Amino acid sequence: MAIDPVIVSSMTAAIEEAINKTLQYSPASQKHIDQLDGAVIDICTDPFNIRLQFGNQRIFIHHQTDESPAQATISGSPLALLRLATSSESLTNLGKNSVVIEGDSETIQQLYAFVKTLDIDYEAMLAEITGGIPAHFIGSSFRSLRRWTKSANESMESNIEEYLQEEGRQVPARVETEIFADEVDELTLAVDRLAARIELLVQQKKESPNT
Amino acid sequence: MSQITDSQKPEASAHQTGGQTHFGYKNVPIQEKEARVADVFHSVASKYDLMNDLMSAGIHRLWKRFTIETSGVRKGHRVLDIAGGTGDLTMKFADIVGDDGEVVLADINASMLKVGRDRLLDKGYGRNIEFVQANAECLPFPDNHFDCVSIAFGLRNVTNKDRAIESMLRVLKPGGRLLILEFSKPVLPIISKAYDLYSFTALPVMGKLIAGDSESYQYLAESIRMHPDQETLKAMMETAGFARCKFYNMTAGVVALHTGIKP
Repeated sequence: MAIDPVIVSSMTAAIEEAINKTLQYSPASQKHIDQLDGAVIDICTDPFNIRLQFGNQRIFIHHQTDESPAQATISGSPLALLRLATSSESLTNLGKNSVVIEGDSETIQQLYAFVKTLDIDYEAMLAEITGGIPAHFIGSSFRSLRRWTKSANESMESNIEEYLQEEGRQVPARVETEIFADEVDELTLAVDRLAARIELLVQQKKESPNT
Repeated sequence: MSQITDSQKPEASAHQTGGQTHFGYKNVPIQEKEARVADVFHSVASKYDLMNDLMSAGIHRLWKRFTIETSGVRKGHRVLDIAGGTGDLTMKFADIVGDDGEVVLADINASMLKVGRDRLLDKGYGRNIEFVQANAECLPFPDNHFDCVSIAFGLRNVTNKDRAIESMLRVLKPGGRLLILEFSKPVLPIISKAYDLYSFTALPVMGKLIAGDSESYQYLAESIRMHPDQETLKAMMETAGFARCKFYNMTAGVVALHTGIKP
């Protein structure tokens, strides 16, 4: 049984409202929204396909019931699209992310630039609800927590690496691994050369059996 | 207020016979229906939005939203919103078509048009919107003029629906799309019974309390039952000349969106 369009529309309405509300707190993105004015882009993450339509400094989110073609289509798993939106890679490396992009490349470039310039001022959003001082306190605490988490994560990675390589001798050091990998590469090449040489000798033997 | 029974309800297919047409469950002379419908909307215009929200619990916004999503309207398009009333669809269309496009809000009823125009102007709209008092049966626009024509909750009030659909076909450009959003026939019997009960008991009471007019809302409930069902309306569109006609049932068929393309 098909889903009632009203349910789908209520979802797209909620997403649209949330996105447009959030965009108000990213003034740097406004220029890119203006450049995308009139653009229609399909985002296909089966089974939920949506259409982004830019206009009047807003993004309209539609379920894809309209049969007319979009200017560009981006297809991929939700995870791949999320990785694409959050990665720092250039647009030329997108093929590695299992994301398929079709259509007008200029529109895609503009969308990519728009996503990359998103810098949402969450503290300002929060300040509208809680007032400036609590928002600043929560924002500062959040930033401190994020810095601490990042630092602790890096420190933990470094300590685990050092213990496994230097103290426990469970895994080789990175340099040792690289040297070993180089030696394997050289061996592979040598074996290939040897195989080619043998192949050549066998061929020569077949062509002149009396020599 | 009693619930509808089959014996009370005239045959929907018997409309416009012998110079008579239906006005709700009443038969009236064809030339009278337009004036009677006009009286209904003059009466409810000022409370129209409030009553829509109350009667549908706000779901009419989602019905209209789905209509916009299905419209295929783009920046620069020219759109006609017939029976546009207080301008819900017009506002969304105006956002999408931008300054390069144009939206015409047309309504036969001067009171509704005035409420719609005031509301849109108060919200800062107007640059790309025109307001036109027009009869859907004889639209005052050139042939092949619009990329999209919509009529939301208006067709059932039109005296000659076939003529109105033909008129919409005429003003659409080839490849243009017609959208008819209208109350229809619920697909589940249990929903149908609950819906009848609600329509013939709660609606007139709400109309009396909020808009001070129960008769207009009694007419609303009756006119919905007299409106062609999904398949009949689709056939009417095909007969008029529309191609790729289809309909989407919403809220279990309480409302349906019909779409068709001008070949």
